[in-house]
Amino acid sequence: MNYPQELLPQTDYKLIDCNVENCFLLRLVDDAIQEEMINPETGYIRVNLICSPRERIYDLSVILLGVYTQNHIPIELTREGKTKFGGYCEPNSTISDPPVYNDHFVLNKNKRFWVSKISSISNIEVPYSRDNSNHTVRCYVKHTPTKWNFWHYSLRWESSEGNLDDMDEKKRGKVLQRMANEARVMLSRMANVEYPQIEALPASCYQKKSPVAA
Amino acid sequence: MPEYFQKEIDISAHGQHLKQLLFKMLMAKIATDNCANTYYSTILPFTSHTTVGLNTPIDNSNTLLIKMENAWKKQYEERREEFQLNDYELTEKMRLSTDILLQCSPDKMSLEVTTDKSIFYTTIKNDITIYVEHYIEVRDFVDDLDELIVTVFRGNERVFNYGGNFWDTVNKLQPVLQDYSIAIPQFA
Repeated sequence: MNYPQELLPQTDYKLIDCNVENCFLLRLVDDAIQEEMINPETGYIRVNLICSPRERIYDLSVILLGVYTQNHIPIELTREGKTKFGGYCEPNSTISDPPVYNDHFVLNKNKRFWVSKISSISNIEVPYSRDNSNHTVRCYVKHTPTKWNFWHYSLRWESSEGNLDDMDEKKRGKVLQRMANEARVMLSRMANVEYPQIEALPASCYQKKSPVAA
Repeated sequence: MPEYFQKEIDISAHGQHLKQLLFKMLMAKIATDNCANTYYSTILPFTSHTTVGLNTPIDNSNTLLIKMENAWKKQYEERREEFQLNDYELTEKMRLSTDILLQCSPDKMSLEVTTDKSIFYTTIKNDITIYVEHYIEVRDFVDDLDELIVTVFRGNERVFNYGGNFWDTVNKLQPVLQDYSIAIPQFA
């Protein structure tokens, strides 16, 4: 089986530069977690399925739906595939030797996911109080192509308290707690486990020059 | 009425701190009893004098309490090594936050142990959803070092968001819930 070419970066690709607010992001769920996706008690997605234990909730890997569709969901990188193709890359990188079936990727038809409309989660500022002072935390999405998937995005959080790297360890820990908590609250409310109706993304959004109409 | 309930009524005018201390003693006593089926039959005479006209009658709280304990046992087992407190101390901390939320007489409630050494609760009563994340201070068995982050939604509107010291946050949450006719009896 050949790796789908449409997922790979191309020499004429650029970072997606059009408004994707009405598009959907998809998050693949770690197979190691066997729980039901939806908590039957509350009707909301389980917070432990929003991200895997190995990842930090305030910087989540997600995939933009459009060219990547439900047909691609079963694609799963092997350990070797993650090493070779898991890293970030330029949008116009040349992947001369694409992932090879069984060596770098397999198909897992039981792969689970959740989706969320970007406008439901992105650029929403959430006020919070911590020890009697007021701040905000904001969720934003960033196009971060990887060697295996040009449509890879990152779902990230930032605080009005400043750059995390500039904070002392204690304050950083507290701010990260707030981000993680807000991610759990927001995504458990907004995430859906049903595959949505999606529209094709115009090529002009990601190609440096749109193909000339015949 | 058991002696430890009588004490609460006698000193009820002596301030919030005493209430909190007594509440901790009460929780410790209940934990010692360690019997969910007798829990609300014991606590009802105590709570009823402070909750008139607020919460709906306690009906499924016993069921929810058992569900929370079972959810905790199952999930905690899977993450035991991530925590550094002993089983008893951790379970006591879980019971404390669980019990505060159960006093709201929720319609629905869930508990999840997260990968950040916290307990994430979703509590639903009528159109109010209360998200509480209890960050457990693993170095010491002192509740005051634990942190709570609370978010309250009414429908889809966020009406409260606060994070801080465990008891300070509970004190700030109580009047917010009271606006929606939900009481945490020990703090009412």
